Amino acid sequence: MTTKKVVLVVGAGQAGSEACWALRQGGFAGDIILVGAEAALPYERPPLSKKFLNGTLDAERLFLRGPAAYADAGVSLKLGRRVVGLDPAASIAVLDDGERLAFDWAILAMGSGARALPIPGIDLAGVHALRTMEDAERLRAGLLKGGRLVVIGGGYLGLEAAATGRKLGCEVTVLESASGLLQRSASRQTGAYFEAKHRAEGVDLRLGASVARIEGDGRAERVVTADGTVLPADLVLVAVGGVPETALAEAAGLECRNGILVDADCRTSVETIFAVGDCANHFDPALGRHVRLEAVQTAISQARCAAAAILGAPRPAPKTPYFWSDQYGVKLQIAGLIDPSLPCEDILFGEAGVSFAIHRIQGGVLAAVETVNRPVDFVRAQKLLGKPVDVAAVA
Amino acid sequence: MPTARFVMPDGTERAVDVPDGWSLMEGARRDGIPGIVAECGGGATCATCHVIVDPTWYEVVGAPPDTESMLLELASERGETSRLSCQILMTDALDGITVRVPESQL
Repeated sequence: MTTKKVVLVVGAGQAGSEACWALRQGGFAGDIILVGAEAALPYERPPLSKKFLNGTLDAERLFLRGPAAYADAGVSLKLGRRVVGLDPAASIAVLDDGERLAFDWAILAMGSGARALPIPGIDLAGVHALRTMEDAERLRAGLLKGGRLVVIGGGYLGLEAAATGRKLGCEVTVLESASGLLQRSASRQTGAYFEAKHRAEGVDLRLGASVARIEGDGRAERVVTADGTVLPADLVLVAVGGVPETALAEAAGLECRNGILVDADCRTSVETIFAVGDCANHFDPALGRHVRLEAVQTAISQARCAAAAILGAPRPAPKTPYFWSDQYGVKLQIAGLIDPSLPCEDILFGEAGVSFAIHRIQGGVLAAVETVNRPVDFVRAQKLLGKPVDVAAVA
Repeated sequence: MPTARFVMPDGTERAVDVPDGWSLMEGARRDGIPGIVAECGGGATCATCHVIVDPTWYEVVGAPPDTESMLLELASERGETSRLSCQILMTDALDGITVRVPESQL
């Protein structure tokens, strides 16, 4: 007698959801159980700092699939539930209500959480994070009252929220501890462009500013920087990066280092357990190193890798990672990855302050492309990624 | 509510009710039409919601703008009537539109 195989997917974000569809489309006939900590069906996160935050996109349009689609595909949803224990040897997961689930394979897709900022006042009312739909709804309610928003962290999330805050009529201050914007993730020119853009849109952008504390009587009323500057605030958004959710994996003895370590197939140090998306530090065979990315396209392609491995199907062809950001209607698109440990040469095409493309060259090949308001160039350049570039000829 | 018909590579057809003002992609995604992935969420940045529009309906929806046309070059199986379903906004005028999902997208 054969019993039905079970895949348990832990985490119902973009990666966990895609894993379910990839398994079914690949012909998996067993049971699929999707466990998610939030009560909502899996939804898209990128709009949380953009169109969902400004109120132009309804919640209904954030959901990746409607409820009927899960029923049709035979995916059992356990939403508003958490997996609190994982026993790899026995292939058993324990949920927060004590339920025990046996599995043949598990796919961990717990995502990432907001990096904590250990400063006094961080727990005051009016101090927000922005990771979930509920976070976005709370922040939007605050923004709609107008007033003063102080954003701690000048990364993509913080900058997009700042742009939305301006659009909704708030006074906005952005505090970034580095000397320029987007230094770890984009070229100097792109960082400088967004610095100028935010200032032109009326944001009080302070670079090299680290935060000492948040003060207020029960509610955040002001943010105080390390040099003693006092910034009045009605709302504070803390957006200082994400940390991979690895507690469950670590407690289960899975190897973790900047995320759950997985091989090219997204398999963890335990044969039957996979990890995908933000929580996974994935060995990228094309780059020859481990990379952990917080990006939709990465989440989707890793989910498909794990599904293929479970199905015994060939690993899907790797796709170049890409990212995008929208601020004040400006479209930034990035494809490819830079190795931060190696020198990089940037070549600018177009007009620096208006619309431009940056080709980023490492080791003589086009490693990444960034475009600002040049969607056609973005598509065109993607075909050149990984190809040799004669810097002397184009510079 | 206007309805769109998605023809799958195996010839089966699925009807999807798409609320007025939603894109064809959003309707397909909600109903779990295989092959409509929409990685970029409808921003015309990827090409993972590519469909081949029935020629009669293509005359109604029209040819893609430049950016979309470039993106379609990245898609496999581009046909003469290819469009990105995230760029087709549903209205009553499109009630009954028929599109084919490319096999390579599954």
